[in-house]
Amino acid sequence: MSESRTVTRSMLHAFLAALIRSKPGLAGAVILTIFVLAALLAPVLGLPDPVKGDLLARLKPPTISLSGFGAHPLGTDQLGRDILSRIIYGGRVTLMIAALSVLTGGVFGVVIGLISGFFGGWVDRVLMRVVDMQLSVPLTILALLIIASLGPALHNLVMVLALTSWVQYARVVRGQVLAVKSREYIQSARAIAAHPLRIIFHHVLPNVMTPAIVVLTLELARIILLEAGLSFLGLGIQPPDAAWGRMLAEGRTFMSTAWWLSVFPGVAIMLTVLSVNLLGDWLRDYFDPHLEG
Amino acid sequence: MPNYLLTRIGESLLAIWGVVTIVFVVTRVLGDPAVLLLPIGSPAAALAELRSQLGLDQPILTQYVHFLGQAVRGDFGNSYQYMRPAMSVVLERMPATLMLAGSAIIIGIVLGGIAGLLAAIKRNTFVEYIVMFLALIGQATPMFWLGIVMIMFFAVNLGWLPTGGYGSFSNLVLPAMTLGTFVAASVTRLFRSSILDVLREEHVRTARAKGLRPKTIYVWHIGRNALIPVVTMVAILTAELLGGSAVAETVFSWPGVGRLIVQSIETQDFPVVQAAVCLVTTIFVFINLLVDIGYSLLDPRIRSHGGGHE
Amino acid sequence: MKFHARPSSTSHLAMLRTAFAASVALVALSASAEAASLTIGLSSSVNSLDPAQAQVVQTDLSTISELYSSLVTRGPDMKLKGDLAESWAAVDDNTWSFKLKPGIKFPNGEALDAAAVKWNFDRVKSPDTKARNKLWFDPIKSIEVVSPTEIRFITDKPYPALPAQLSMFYLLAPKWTETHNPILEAMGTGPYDLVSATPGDRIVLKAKKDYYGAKPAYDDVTLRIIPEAAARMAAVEAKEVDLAFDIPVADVARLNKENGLAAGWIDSSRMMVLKINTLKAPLDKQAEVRQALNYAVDKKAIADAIYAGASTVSACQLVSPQYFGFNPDLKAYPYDPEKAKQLLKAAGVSGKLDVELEVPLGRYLAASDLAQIIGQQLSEVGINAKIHEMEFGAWAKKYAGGDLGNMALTGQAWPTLDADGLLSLYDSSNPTSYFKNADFDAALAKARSTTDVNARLEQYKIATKIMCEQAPDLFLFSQPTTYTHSKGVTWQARGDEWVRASDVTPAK
Repeated sequence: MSESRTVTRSMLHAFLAALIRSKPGLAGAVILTIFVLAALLAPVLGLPDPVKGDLLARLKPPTISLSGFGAHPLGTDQLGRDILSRIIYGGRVTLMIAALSVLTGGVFGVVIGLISGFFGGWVDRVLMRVVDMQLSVPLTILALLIIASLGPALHNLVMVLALTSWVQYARVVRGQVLAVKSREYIQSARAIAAHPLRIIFHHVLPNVMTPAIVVLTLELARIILLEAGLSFLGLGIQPPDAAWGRMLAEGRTFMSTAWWLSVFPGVAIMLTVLSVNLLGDWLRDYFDPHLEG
Repeated sequence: MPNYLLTRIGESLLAIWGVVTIVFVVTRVLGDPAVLLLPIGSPAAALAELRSQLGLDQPILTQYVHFLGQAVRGDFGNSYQYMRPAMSVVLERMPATLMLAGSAIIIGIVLGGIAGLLAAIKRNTFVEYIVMFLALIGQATPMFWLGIVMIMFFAVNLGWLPTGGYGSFSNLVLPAMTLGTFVAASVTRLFRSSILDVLREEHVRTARAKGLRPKTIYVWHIGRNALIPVVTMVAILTAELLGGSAVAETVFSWPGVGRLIVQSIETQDFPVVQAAVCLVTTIFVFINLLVDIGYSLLDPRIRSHGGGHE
Repeated sequence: MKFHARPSSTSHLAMLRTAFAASVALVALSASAEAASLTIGLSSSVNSLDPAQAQVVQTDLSTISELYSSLVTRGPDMKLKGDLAESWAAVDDNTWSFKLKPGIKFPNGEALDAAAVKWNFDRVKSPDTKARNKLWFDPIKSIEVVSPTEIRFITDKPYPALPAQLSMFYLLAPKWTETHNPILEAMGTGPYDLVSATPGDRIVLKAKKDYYGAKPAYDDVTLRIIPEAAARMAAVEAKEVDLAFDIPVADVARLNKENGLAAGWIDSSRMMVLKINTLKAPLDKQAEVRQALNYAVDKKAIADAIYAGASTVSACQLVSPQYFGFNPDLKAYPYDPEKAKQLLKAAGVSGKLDVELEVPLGRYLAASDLAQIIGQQLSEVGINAKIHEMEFGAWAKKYAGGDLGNMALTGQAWPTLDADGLLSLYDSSNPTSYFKNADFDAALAKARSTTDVNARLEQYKIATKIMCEQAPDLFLFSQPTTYTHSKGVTWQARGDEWVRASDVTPAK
C-alpha cells in the first residue's frame, strides 16, 4: 500500500517537473489557475457587488493605468456595474458551466465511442445511428429548441451543452479505436482471449486519450462560445448573474460607444480558451504512449 | 455491397424518423402559436377556433400520426406565419444556405488544410507558433463578434464590401469569410495534430524501414490516415453550417435556413421548424453516407477488419 | 472576363486582385444606382402581403399600405385623413357613412368602388378567409352599398374608433384575388407597385405612374430586412440604407456626430409597464402593496439611463397623450422608497417579499436591462424580484393561458390610438386582464355606449383613475422609437410604428 503511494507520488513529481519544463504548458496552467482561483476566491477579494449597479456611474471607461487601478479598473457597464467584478464573478458561472458540460459530455461520449468502436457489429450500428440522429440536427438549433421550450435555467444550459458535445467524442474516439484495434498487439490480445474490459483499459484507452484530449480542448472552447452564441440569440444565463458569453453579447450593442463592455469579456474568453488549449497540447504530448521509452 | 447499401439506407431513414419525432415533441412543448398569430386581446373563443383550424386541438398522438403521414410525402402543412406550404418556404431559403455553407467549408478546408500541414511540417518553428496562435484566436472568437467587427472594418471603414444582404458575390464575401475562419481554425488544429499522430505511428516507421522515399510516405500514409478525423469533423461542421449558421446569417442579414429556423422558433411556426430540420437532416444523412464511403476509401483497414458499417 | 494561365506565383494574387476589383466595382455601381432611390432598413421580416392576415404595423401593414389603398389613413401628424374616402361622418350612433373618390381603378381595370369595399369587408369576415385580424372588425355588423361612391358601416352599439380602425383595412381587387395569391403577389391602388419580394431579404417597390394621390418623392423604394442592430447601423453608416429603425439608444448621440448622418428618437405609442397579476398571491389582495411597487422604482432615472432620456414617464396610466382618452389629471407615483416601505409595513408584509418578474425577450428595447435595474431597486425596499427571461412565444403561452407570473415586463399599445382598445386589455372579461374591478368595467362599458366625445373622455378619466389607484401595473414610461438616417433624406418622425416611403423626402 505504501509502495503504491510512493509510486503515485513519484508519478505526480514527474508530471509536475515535466509541466514546469514545458513553457507553453506552464503558461496555460498558470493562466487557467489564475482564472479558477479568482473565480473561487471572488467573494473574499473585496470586489464591488457584480449585480448592483450605480446608474450615475454607467458606461464609465476603464480607470486602470500605470498609477493604479482606480475606482473601476475595467470600467462599468450599461447599468453602472463594475466590469472587473462581473468578469471575476462571471468566471464562476462560465467555468462551472463549461467544466460541467465538458465532463458530462466527455465521459459519456468516450464511453459510447469505446463501446461502439471496440465491439462493432450491431452494438456499433445502434450507437452510431443514435450518434447520426444527434449529429443530423444542427446543434445550435437543437440547443435553441430545447432552451426555448425548457427555459434558460442553468441546469438546462449544462444539459443542452453536454448533449451537443458527447457525439464529438464518441465519433472521434470510435474512429481512433477502429484504427488502433487493427494493430498487432490488440489482435494478439484478442487472440489470447483477454477480457474485453482489460483490453479496453490496457490497450485501447491509452491510445484513445490523445484524440479525446484534443477534442476536449476543442470542445471546451466550443462550449464557451456556444454559450456566447446562445446569449446572442437571446437565450443565455438568467440575469442578473454574469456570464462571459452573455456580457459579450450584451456588450456588442455598445461596440462603437463603449468598447470595454465587449472587449474585456472577450479577452477573458480568449485567454481561457488559449490556456486550456496550451495545457491540452502539453497533456497530449505527456500522455502520448509513443513518446515513452 | 448492395445489401450493405440497403441496410445503410434503412438505418438512415430510421435516424431521420428519430429526429423528426424529437422535433415534433419539442415544438409541441414549446408554446401556443395561436396566441402569437392573433391580435392582442383576442377572446378565448377566437384562440380556440384558430387552434382547431391548425389542428392543435387534436390529441397529440392523432396530430403525430397525421404529421408523419404527411411528412413522408414531404408535406409539412402550411406555415402559420407565411400561410403557404412550409416546405416551399424552407426551399426558398435553401440556396442561400447552401451557398454560404459551401463557401465556408471550402475556405475552411483550403485555408485550414494548408495551415495545418504547414504547422505540422514546420514543427517547433516560428511558423508553427504563428499558425497555431492564429488558429487559437480564430477558434476563441465568438462568431457574432467577429462578424460585427468585419462589417465595421470592411464595410463601414474601408467601404469595400456591403454590410449584408443577399444577391451578388460581394454580399457573400464577409459572411463566408466569417464562417470560414471558424472552420479553418478547427481544421488547422485537428489536421496538424492528426498528421503528427500518424507520423509517430508504427506503420510509418515500417514503411520507412522498407526504404520508401520520404515523399511517398507523406503523400500516402500520412495524408490518407491524417485525413480521417478531419473528414469526420468536416461532416459534423457541414451539418452545423447547414442549419446552424443562424448567428452568421443574422449578423449579415443573410436570408438562409438557419435564420428562418430561429425566427420560426420565436414565432412558433411549427411546420417551418419541422420542415427545415427534416430537410437539413435528410441532406446531412446523405452526406454522412458519403463520409462512410470516404472512410473506407481512406482507411482500407476499416473495411478489411469489419469495423465500419459493414 | 478572361483569365490567362500564367505559371508564375503572382498569377493567383493577380486573379484575386481582379476578382476583388470587380466586386468593388459592383458595389460602387449599385451604390450610385441607389442615389435616386430610397432604401429603408427594418428589424424584422415581412411575412404576408395579404391585408386580411397582416397585423404587425412596422412590417406587414406598412408594406401593404404602399401597395393598396385604405378608406382612411393616419398621417405622420397622427391625424386621420381620407385616402380612398373623400369624407366620412356618423349618421347616427350605430351608422357611419363614407363617401368615396370616384373613378379609382386597379391596374387591371377593376373598379375600386363601394361594391369592391363591401367585397373586401365580406372577405375578412368570411370564415373561409381565416383572417387573422378579423377581431379588429368584429364590432361592425354589416356594410351597405348606398351608391358606387357611398358606403355605410352598421354596428351593434356605438363604435367611435371605427374610422381609426379602418385605417388598417386595405383593399384588394375582387376579380384579381380569385386567380392570384395575395400573400405573395400584389396588385393594388397604392402609391407603389411590387417589383419583387425576396423572403427574409428585401422587398422592391416602384412608384405607380398614375397614382391618384400625392406622388411620393422616390420612384424606387427598397425595404431591407436587417435583424442585427449593429449591422443596421453599419448599413446606414456605409450609405447602403437611407433610413433605419430600432437602433440602440446609446448610439443616437454617436451617429449624430457622424458625417452625413442624423439620428433621433420619438415617443412611441407603446407604454412599458410591469404588468401585475392581481389574481395571484402575494400581489392580489391589497392595492397598497402594488402601490408600494410603484413608489419603489425611480422611473425617471431609469428612463434617463437606459433610454438616454428618450422617453416620457407614464402619468400613472397606460394611455399616453397621443391617445384619445388620456387623463391629464393623473400624476406619476413619485420615487419614494421610504413611502414604499411604510406601505408594505402597513400592509403587514414583514421581511422579504418574493415575487417573480417575467421578461419576454426580443420584443422590447433593452428589456433585460430594464428588468435588472428594476429588480435591483425593488430589492432596496425588501421586494425580492426573481427574473425569469423567456422566449416571447413561451411567455405568450403562459400569459394567454392564465398562468402569468406575479409581474411581467411588457409594452402595451393599441393601433387605433384610442383608449377604448388599450384599456379593454384590463376589462375583466378579457382572459388576459389579470385584473377584476367592476367599477373599471362599468366605466369602459359606458364609454363604449356613446359616440359623444366628452362623455367618453369623462368615462376614461374614471377608468384611468381606478387603474392608477388599484395599480394592476407598475407604470413605467413610453418606449422610444429610435431611428437614424442619412442627411440626404428627411423623415417625418412618427411614434406609431408605421414606416411609409411617403413620409420620406429628399433633404433640401
